[in-house]
Amino acid sequence: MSPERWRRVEDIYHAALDEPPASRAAFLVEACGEDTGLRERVEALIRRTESSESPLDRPLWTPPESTVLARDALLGPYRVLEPIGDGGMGRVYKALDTRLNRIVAIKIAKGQFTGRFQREARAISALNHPNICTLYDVGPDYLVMEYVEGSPLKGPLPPEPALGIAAAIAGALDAAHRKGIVHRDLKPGNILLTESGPKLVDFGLARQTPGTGVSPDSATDLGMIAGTPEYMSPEQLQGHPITERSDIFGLGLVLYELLTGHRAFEADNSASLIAQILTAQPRPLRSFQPYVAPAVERILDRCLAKDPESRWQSARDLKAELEWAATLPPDIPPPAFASPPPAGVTPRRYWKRLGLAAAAVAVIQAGLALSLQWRPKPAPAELIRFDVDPPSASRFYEYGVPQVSPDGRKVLFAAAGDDGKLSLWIHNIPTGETSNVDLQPGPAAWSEDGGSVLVTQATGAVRLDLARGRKTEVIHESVNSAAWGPGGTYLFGIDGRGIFWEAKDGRRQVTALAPGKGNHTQPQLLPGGRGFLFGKLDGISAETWLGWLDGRPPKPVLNRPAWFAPPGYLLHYEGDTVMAQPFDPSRGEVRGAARPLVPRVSHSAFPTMGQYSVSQNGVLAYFRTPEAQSMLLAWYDRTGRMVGTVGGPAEYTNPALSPDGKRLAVSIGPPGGNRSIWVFDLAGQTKTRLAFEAPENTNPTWSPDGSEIAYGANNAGHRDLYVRSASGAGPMRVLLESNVDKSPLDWSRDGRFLLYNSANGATSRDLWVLALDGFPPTPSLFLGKPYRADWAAASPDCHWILYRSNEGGTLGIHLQPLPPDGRSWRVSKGASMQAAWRGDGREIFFESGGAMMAAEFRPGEPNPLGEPQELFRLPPVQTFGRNFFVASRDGQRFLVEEVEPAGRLRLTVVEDWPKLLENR
Amino acid sequence: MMASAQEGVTALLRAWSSGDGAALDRLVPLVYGELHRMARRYLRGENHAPSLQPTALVNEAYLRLVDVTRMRWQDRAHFFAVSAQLMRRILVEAARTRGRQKRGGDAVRVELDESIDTLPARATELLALDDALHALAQFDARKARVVELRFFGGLSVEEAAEVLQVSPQTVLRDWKLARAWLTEELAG
Repeated sequence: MSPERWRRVEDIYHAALDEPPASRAAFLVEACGEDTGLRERVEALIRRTESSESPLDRPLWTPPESTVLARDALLGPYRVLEPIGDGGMGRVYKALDTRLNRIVAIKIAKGQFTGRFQREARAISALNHPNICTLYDVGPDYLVMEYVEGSPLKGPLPPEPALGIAAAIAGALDAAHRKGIVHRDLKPGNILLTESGPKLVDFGLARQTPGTGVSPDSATDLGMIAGTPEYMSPEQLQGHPITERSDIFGLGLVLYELLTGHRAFEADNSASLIAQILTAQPRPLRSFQPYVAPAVERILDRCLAKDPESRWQSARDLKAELEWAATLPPDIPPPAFASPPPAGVTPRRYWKRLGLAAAAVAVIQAGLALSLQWRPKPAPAELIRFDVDPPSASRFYEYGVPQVSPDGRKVLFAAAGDDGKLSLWIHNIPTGETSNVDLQPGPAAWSEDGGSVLVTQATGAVRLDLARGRKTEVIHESVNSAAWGPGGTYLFGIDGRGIFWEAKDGRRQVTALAPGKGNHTQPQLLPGGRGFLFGKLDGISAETWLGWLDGRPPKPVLNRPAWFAPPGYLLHYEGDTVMAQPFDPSRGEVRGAARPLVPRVSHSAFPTMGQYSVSQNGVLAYFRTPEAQSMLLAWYDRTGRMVGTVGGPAEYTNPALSPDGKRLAVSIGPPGGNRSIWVFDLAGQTKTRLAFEAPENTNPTWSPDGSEIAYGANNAGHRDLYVRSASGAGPMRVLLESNVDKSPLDWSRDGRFLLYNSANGATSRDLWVLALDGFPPTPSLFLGKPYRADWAAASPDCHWILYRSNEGGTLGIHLQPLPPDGRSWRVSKGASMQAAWRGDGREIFFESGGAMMAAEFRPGEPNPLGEPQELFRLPPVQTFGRNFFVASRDGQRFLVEEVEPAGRLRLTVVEDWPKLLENR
Repeated sequence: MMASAQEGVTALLRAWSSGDGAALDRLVPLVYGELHRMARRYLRGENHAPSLQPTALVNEAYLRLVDVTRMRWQDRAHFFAVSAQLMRRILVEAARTRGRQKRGGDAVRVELDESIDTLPARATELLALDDALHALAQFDARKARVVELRFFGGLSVEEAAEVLQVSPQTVLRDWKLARAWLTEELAG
């Protein structure tokens, strides 16, 4: 879809929607005229608009409401002091009750409370118990509660304080139950440990508040909310009524966690969790605390009974049991407990000794689902690195440099279209838009405010002001590069002369060259506006020097090209890595050692010119070549449909199918590096490594019975021919060693010879035959022609040979009888890189112009080659390796070495590159 | 550390919405780090709340990073605009990685480097939508941004208008057409 066409679609679309439905059709016909495609498009879009079904209608999420209060705001008689966190239903603030002059906590809900909710709240406000966080007041959308400072519950604790806490909560429950109030949401997160003991918060109200996505009325009865089921009772999960016994269950869960430090029920997902709560027993206490009194275990079991009828029926009874159990001695004198409290210490003072009160962190109160673990401190921010895509149907110009603006928000780059034509673009990082710049691509420099860019053209330099889109030619002679000077002036270099400064009061030459002594180029103004860096090119060397606007003699800074980057670094390029070297711009001196920043940055024509640039605020933009090229072995059928793959992406070369088609031998590894031969079992998708002792094991070639594999390896400094058992058993045996590189190509089906190629200074490669029926195997030259011949395969009946040579100028596939009788045919009309026989010798497959071709082969006839037909277009393949495709024996499938399109640069932007130095 | 990060983000959001473009660059790493961390925990199932949507993630990040008392709503809009972009990237990356693992290929460069065994239910939809959004961005970047802000960021029409510096009517029109086009693409 082109932008222009899209605009038309858009205009007509909106106009059509403005029409009353009755006249819409007629309007469309008129507006689109003969362009039925356009009309159908708009009609389809209008249909989609009217229908209510779209995945986009369900947003992924909605941000939290703005229930935000400013400090000192007054909410009735309450003055807001500071926020203390987020509750399940709204924000919580610390506030001052100005009438009673006491500190309170206010929870603001996201919506209005229902009448029912308010009634319940009022009932709760009548509760007055030392272990209940008192509810003071209820407003239309807020709750005012006792301000509690305490810490969350954390287990495991020794039995006495754990039981003491549970007993206190049981007392709180009892008080509530007597007034007919059920908490419904009892869990460790709703209990705070304060100086005066544990406090139960958030009585049942979280279950009924608006904004939880459940209608309040049903919530009361069912007690179900969208949330974590870990603390729900079995009856709750089943939708049965919630009663006081549900609170007892909750208390059991709390006690379990206090004693063990673990949740009673845990699972990886909701479904398992629910199943556990409904049917499973939690791990026995004794597995955590071997010395706990058996009575405690019995109390806990009774709290956690699945059937509410089997539990403790009243919180009061439970409290008594707990208090009694707290006085019990442990079962066996424990080494496990750190220090049991001495006799006479009451539970209350014990909390103080545990230091919990002292910990009093600014508390997140009622309703916040706290787990028993503390929240971990947020780790330092991570580095952001992302890629920018080239404009569609283009790729980044391989000799260009991505120029990032000083504010780090825009990147300017040149791209080449499919037709090779170059164009200039600016990518805006925050908005994601890439827009075309109507200028001839050339070296470019951004102004400091990022609002203009100076682009060097053939006969000068043009300044483009982005806001207005205005282009002005500001330098009118041929320059090698241009940049900004101070205060909107310009610096530029002229070949053969030096760097010039176009100041307000005229032009000045600020560096001078001796004639014939290279060039000065790429000036870059330094902070302070008096000095500038520039490149000194000398034919063989490229250095960075520091010059001065006042014309002082420049001085060398670094022996390679470099750019200044705040806060005080020179970025330069070594190998393929951008390096950062500390640099003092006021003195113009480098200090310290250079450290690597990012590797695999590509360079343009010269190895010292890395393709990168920096902003003034830590953004680094660079071109990179994709990671080591990996290929995929993919099966294709004769129609060109991919029907399977073998293995995953890797650097494959020279795949070879076993004669029975059940195995594949292939060389894996980077060219020039360590390549090993692997054998894949195609059925089982397993692979074993066959040859790896020497470096550079390549060109696996199967013996006709599939029991052995011949291959080339660089064992002795040159590539020689070896063979070993296909199962990998046994040592490798030498077939042929000599001080010339050779590679095996094909093992004849009658087992009598091995075709191979051998390096030759003059023609680069010749075809040789290694006769295998004698011992030792004897080599002889096969095709001693004055041109290169580097690949060959004998026909299954061994009477013909297909081979590749560049006879005639381009590499192509040829055919000759065996033994040669002088006749020969050209199989591929144009250039062709690879061919293969069908297993019965009746068809020849070959690549031509990126397509898979097939030609019938009729050996009896005077012209044995049929007319080649194109089967399908090949995917991108690496044509340099032998056997980038192999054919199955029946000729129905082809295994192709697919490759990523080569040579496509990627543009990567790194935010805050100084962070990279922190990690080293 | 929490307090200073909070102050940082609030001040940055303020600055950005007042036109200080550079503030965005310093803001993004802070938000990204937080979101990334949460996404990772969420996708590993560590939140113990399998029903949590990405929604809660950004909620949490928002709360942890931002001092709620000092935010104006325009700043909030900007915050979520940033989160929208990042959240999209994180989730799509995760969905794509999972897809690769399912097909048995080697995951090439996994940002969320742990193996992912729980994922939002809409993962495949997300991938298709991401592709369609990329296609849309080729000829109408602003509409793609509108969708990103509203769908991945949950911004209201007014908030999106504030971020993009256009009128709410424009956002609505953009949204309407973009929604229709994307729905058509996703159905196709």
